[in-house]
Amino acid sequence: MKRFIMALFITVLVVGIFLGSCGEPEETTTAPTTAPTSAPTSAPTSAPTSAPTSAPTSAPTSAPTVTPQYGGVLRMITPMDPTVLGYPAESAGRATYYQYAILERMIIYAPDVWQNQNYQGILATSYTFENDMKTWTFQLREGVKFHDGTDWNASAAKWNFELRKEAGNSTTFNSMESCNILGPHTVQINFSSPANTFEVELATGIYFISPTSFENAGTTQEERIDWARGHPVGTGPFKFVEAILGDHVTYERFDDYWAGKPYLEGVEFIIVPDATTSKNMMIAGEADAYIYSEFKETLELEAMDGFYARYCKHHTPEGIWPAALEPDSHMYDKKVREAIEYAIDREAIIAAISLGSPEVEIMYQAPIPGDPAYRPDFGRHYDLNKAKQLMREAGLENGFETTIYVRSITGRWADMALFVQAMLAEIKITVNIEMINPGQYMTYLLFGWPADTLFISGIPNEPISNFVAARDYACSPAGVPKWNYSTVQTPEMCALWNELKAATSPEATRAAYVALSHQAMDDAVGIYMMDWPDTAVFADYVKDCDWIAYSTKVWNANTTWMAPH
Amino acid sequence: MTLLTVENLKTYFHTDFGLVKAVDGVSYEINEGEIVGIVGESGCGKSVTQLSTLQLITSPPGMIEDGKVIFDGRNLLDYPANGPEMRSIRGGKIAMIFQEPMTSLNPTLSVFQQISEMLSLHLQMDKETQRKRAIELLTQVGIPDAKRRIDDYPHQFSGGMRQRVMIAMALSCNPKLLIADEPTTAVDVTTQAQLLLLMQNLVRQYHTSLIIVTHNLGVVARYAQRIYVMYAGRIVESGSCDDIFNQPKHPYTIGLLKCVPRLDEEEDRRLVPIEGLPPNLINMPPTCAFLPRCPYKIDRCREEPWPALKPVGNQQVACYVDTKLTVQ
Amino acid sequence: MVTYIIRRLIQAVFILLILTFIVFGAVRLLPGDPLLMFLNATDIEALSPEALDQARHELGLDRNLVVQYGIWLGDILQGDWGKSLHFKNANVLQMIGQRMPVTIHLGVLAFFFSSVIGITLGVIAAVRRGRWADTVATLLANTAITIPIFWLGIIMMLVFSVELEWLPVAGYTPINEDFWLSTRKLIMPVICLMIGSLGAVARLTRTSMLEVIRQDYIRTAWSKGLRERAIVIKHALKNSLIPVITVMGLQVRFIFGGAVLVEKVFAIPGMGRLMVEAVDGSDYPVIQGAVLVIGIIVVLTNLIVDISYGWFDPRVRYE
Ligand SMILES: Nc1ncnc2c1ncn2[C@@H]1O[C@H](COP(=O)(O)OP(=O)(O)OP(=O)(O)O)[C@@H](O)[C@H]1O
Ligand SMILES: [Mg+2]
Repeated sequence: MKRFIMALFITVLVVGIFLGSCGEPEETTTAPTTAPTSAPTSAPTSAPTSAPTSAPTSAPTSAPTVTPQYGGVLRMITPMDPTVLGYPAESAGRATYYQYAILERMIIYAPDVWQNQNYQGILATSYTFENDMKTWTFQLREGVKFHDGTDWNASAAKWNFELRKEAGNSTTFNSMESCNILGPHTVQINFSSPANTFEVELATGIYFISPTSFENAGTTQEERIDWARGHPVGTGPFKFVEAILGDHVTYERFDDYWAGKPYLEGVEFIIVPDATTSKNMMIAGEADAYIYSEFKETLELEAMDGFYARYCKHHTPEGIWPAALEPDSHMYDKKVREAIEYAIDREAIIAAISLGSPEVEIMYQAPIPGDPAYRPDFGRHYDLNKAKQLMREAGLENGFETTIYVRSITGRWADMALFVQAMLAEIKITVNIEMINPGQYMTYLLFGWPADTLFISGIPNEPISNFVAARDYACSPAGVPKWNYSTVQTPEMCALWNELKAATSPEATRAAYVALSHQAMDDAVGIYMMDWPDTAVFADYVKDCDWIAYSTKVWNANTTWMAPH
Repeated sequence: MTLLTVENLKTYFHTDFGLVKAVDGVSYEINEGEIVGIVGESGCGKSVTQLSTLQLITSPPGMIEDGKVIFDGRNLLDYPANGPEMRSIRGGKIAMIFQEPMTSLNPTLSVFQQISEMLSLHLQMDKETQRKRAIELLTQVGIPDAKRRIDDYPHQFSGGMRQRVMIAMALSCNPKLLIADEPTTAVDVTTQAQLLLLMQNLVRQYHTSLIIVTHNLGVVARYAQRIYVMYAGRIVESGSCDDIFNQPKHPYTIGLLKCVPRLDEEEDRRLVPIEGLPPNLINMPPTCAFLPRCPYKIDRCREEPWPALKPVGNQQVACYVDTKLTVQ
Repeated sequence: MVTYIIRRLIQAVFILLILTFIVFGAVRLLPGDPLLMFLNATDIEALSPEALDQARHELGLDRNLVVQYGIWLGDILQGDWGKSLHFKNANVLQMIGQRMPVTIHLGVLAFFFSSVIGITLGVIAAVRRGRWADTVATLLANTAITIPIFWLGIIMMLVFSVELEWLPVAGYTPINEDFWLSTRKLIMPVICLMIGSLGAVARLTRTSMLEVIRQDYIRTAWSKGLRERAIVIKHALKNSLIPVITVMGLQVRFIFGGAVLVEKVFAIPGMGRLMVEAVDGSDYPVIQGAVLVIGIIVVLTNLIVDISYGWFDPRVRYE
């Protein structure tokens, strides 16, 4: 028996030692040293000729003295699975970033979009609109190929627009009347009503796929759509290889990319749901980037040598929204909504939950500084006396009971809810905290919240804010669903909203947007709390990625390269 | 020729309640081909004595404190308990049969598995020979249809049958000595007689010596040539079977015989149990352990320590009293 | 025996029917409209109530619960397990076919090592009762039972991956792709998953072994001149494993439960994560399929456990 035990111990030891000796970090990439023969043009050079006129800038960040190197597979950790990859009519939700390197849009936001509301051309080199924004004409980029070798041209564009219309899930495309080919690389699209959000949509959600691959993918349309969902064939710098749900998604370099051969040999997304694990993988050198990183782990990694972090601001402001739709509810009274806002001490809450990071900024209104609707002096700052006063005026000095809904996707919202609970107790409002899952959240968001409640949420934002305002402050006619972020529908707001929807020029759109935004602030539709940045962490040797440089919806996969490491 | 000599064997148990002197200076011997009986009440240390010979005492709490077990000229107690020498003796030279046939066989192994492991261990037989030999053995001990039943499990046999299997197992390697520790206590009277007869025949046939341990004098009367009577961890009387039966000397032996039914006596003899209980072996007084129950006791018994065995006629007796002269 | 197995299998079918029906009803009671996750539309205005109703009808979500269940069951029997509502092109059977082998790989290793190491520790502790080996083994077993596996996972990761760089932090590689990488990636997850079972098995084995080595037949074995190892392994172990088998059968369930956490921490694409994500997103077809498969596995392991009693203990009869 003694010998048996010894044998066991020895086995364990030997296995341990063996594992130890073969445990060197895996060889990851080979960095070829051959200098690139021609540096690819990192951004489209021709400017859109229409309304937004400012010329697109070239690659916004890069150290000009270092020569980019070819080679290597960029391994990026991400917590999310891709949902839909190659059927543009269905949104991939938050996981859209999987599509960036494969599929392309006609235009994207320019790097300075938050300040100047500019776009830059990708698959379109220029475009014009006329006829009250009902007719749009696009000049397409020439020499662009899909991954299957077919050409990007007017008929491919037309086919894609028609595919979107056929899907029937877009208001804009539902009103598309016709699409005409005016030349091999010129396409015109006609809407029955002013399409004043079309530019935003083009820059965010309208991807173009190869008609040939799609049409060859099956006998019925259903089969083809199904195939496309898992097989994106676009014009981007990388070609799709495979997606294993819950594990990884891989891309390989597209050598014929129109803007030049990309530096990276490939991209591998590693799906890791746990933040601590992700951080450890970064430290252990098992990945080169960690995107959509958790805030705490981002700060921790940034503080270490060898990593840098990117913070994408303004993309998802977070706030608290009152359900004020029912006329007999307390929240219907603007005084009550204002009282709640005055009772909440944003500075205290954010100091407590931002982990000391200066990247989290307090917000008092929806527009960010620089936005045309931004009002520098506006803001209902913490003032308990004023809050009590307003409650008295509303006849509610004895308070009332309410529920705050918190989605359980992030711990900070639960913390926030506890603060709100304590703060509102000061004005005698009793707050019950209820945790809800994503499905339940979607249901409430679409079909409305229980009367007189509050909920905490991030509010998806866009640099071209009229799009967001039209969504958030919608005064939809009865029967037309809306996203119930804001539930306040004062007559003034509805009038301005209708004006915004009917605007037929960029100038009119902007004016209506500014007026509507100001009205929403005056009407206390919601309590913006903070600008919580989306984050990503990179190893120092990852260069020119421009991840989240101006919007989470863009990263320059073709300019990204890795220094030897 | 003496086969086994046990000298001054002392086995103590160091328990939480105190020291149990289960075997306290026991000496006995057995000759080749001889049948010897060891008799005593329950708890007097018969089993512990036999287990000690083979060093089968679980330690802790048991400890063989002193003594010699001379077998084939070697002192077995010089060998480590589970060392190769001891192991080759166990089962090979000295085999044991235990008192509980229901629990002494492993319920998860077939009868064949249990017999064959001995055959391969001590006789290095191959599988086929093992099978033949096992069937032969089982037939010998009177298991009907042994060929078919050999792969059965113990629970498929009755108590008596299981004890037969035990006997077959014990004799499988032709041991020189068979120790049967109350082999028949747990079976009915008819089976008891059959088993004893079987054992007697077999040991004669194989020229094996046999130690029959029992608390029933009647059992040994017919088979044993010599008898040792044990009380509270010591031998109190020994002698030939006839002498012990006809002229018991120790008060305890006399008491024992009074409660044994005898076929050769008047039918209406009253069976008288010994009064009182056997002593608790923990923290015994130095005086004779039988003293509290002894009808013959004299003052000397209370004053002096337990007497050593001394020859009285053909027997050995450990008593201060000449029971012949004493009137009850 | 054969009739016994057949009867148990028929029983299993009923158990699975009841199980899947209860889950079928329960997930539909969960808050959250799966349709919204399914349509995943950003442009909500384009989604008229009629369009919603239409989609609901196409998915059969507007029918009576029993009818829906009947349809689901019929489809399952024809090999059509449906499609994920969330990952729209993902066939449920395929998803499970991808995830299940991963969890089985993990689970089998965890089961194997928790049993082997647990039993070994238990046996050592029992045979060396009261000596230092017993103290060490018992201490290990008790620690194993109480250790929080999430914490253990993180600590091991920090020590073995980040500090010593012996093992990969996380991830999964199929065994046929690269045996060594696959094994090295699984070492920490398997330890996490098995640690609790290991402790339970070790403790139970020790208790049961101590009981067995006091038995008369062990004394008989000693008297035959067998070596200690032969006695422990051949005579004592089989008997002392009889109660342990029951617990090992239960471990299968714990392993599936533990897989939820371990798969998340170590980024392993297995059933545990699939289930959690499906429940979170109200992905009905995936939940249904996963419950069915896990149910089948649990029912089958129970059957195997019951049958293996017969091997360990010939006194057991199947009627
Ligand atoms: N493991 C043990 N621990 C403590 N005491 C023990 C142990 N084994 C035996 N004893 C004690 O030793 C004494 C002798 O026991 P033994 O089994 O030899 O009796 P016995 O004469 O065989 O009785 P029986 O006829 O009941 O078998 C008893 O008093 C018992 O209490
Ligand atoms: Mg006894």
